[in-house]
Amino acid sequence: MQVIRLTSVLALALAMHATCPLALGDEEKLSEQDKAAKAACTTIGADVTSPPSLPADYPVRSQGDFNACQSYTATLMADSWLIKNKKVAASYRTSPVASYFRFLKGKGATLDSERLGDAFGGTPSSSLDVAIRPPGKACSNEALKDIDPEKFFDYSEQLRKCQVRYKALLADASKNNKTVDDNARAALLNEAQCVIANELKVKGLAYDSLQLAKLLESKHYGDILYDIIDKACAKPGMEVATDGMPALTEVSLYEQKKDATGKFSYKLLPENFSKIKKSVVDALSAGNPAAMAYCSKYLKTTDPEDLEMIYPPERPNAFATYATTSKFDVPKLTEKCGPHVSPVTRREWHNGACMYLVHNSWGMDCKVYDASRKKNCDKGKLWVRENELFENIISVSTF
Amino acid sequence: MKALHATLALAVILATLAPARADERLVLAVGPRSVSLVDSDKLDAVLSEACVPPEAHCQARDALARAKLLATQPRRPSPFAGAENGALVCRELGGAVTMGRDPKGNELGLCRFADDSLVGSSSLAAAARPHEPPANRALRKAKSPSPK
Repeated sequence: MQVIRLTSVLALALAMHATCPLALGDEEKLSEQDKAAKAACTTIGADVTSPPSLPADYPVRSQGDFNACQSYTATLMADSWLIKNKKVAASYRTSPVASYFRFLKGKGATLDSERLGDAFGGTPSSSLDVAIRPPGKACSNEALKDIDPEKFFDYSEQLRKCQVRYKALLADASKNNKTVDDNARAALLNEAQCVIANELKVKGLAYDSLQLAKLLESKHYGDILYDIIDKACAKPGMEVATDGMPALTEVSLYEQKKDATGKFSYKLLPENFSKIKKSVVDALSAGNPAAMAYCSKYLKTTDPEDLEMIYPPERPNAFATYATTSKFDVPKLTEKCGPHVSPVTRREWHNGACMYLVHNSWGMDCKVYDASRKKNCDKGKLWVRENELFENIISVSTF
Repeated sequence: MKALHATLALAVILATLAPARADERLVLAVGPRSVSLVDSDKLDAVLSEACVPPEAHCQARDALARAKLLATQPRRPSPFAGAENGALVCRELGGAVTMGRDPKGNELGLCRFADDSLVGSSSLAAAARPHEPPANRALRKAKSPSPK
């Protein structure tokens, strides 16, 4: 009987340990070194201050088909500033999609030949500076909430074809010195109107035929999309003034220079290793998030053998250490490591280590991450160990 | 010793009998529509409710199997390695990338197929995670310089 009792107790203890490895009692197991590390790892972050600059339930985004991590990061940074400075309610959210299109517009992307989602990337500071600060206004998520991104791609292609046919109609009339066929023109204008009103589903957005004709005569296809986004954002109550929002200050591990021939060269700035960490900690201590540029590959795998493909075997987990070696080659390294940008919003002692919360923009589940990373993933937000985080940051931008 | 064996055996039985994580139902807004999805423990994937039963035939479920095949093949790296992996896999499998949103504004990338079935793009990414053949690994390790 005693054996059965003992067995049951032991089995229960084993089962509890399996499901709850950090159960009560682990506190006493910490080494002196860990106790000191825990004491140093105070809880700081954008959702810690009262009131928080970023609500704890700030949504996890999914950048989907848009190569726009910089815009998703910039909108979180902008929202935290707007909320902290009481310019908006805590529930306000800036639209990352509108910010992305405004960024493309500001950068002069024509979208004539680029696939919409692949136009080009950038940094959070450039995105904030081009898309949110200088226009003096941020566009609310509400302005574009009914757009189905899948349809947006499909129907924006329809618009592109419509523009091509409209321009061909005008060119044909001009070439043959005849008047434009009114019926054909009206049919094309009607088709474009239908796509914008019925398919893109930008609510309350209407063009009269003159405006529409002007739109289709735009020099570049991108101008049509930019006009649609601007019009959707200009609807009453959809824009928020960003007056007074400061620029982001960037600390980078290297300086990039372009010579007269257009060739880039890179100079390592070793003194910035410690400045990057200080910058993140200072921002979180002040209740602000920090935007970090980093290698995304290390989020996708924690298998040291996979990481050897990116980093040299002697330091398989360290971008920063690699950067100090003679092999430092920024274009080659970033091509391998997958340059990516995400905000860091909180630091705390979590699951037995000092960790930072990375607010990634790959959606609200954790399936994309490998098993060891999943253990520290909370509905798409990732807790990353301090050393691992700082060994992989390439640059950081903070208010 | 016998007690230890019994303990281990019982622990194994308990672990085996432990209930699997219950499937979670998600209702997300996709543009103006509302769609029902299930986070299936067995399939380790989020997909359209209609695709979950084993007898179901739908393109989203087939895509999961096709994504697993992708995992065994050499892949051309994306020029945008910071992009959402699942969106890239979705396009590779002939789907259209779209987005689901819960009432709090949290978003989930989705992949839609011609029969209107949906699968989470991160579920596709997980299925397509490259698994390097052990032989290649051994070869690469042999070629690597020894640690300094």
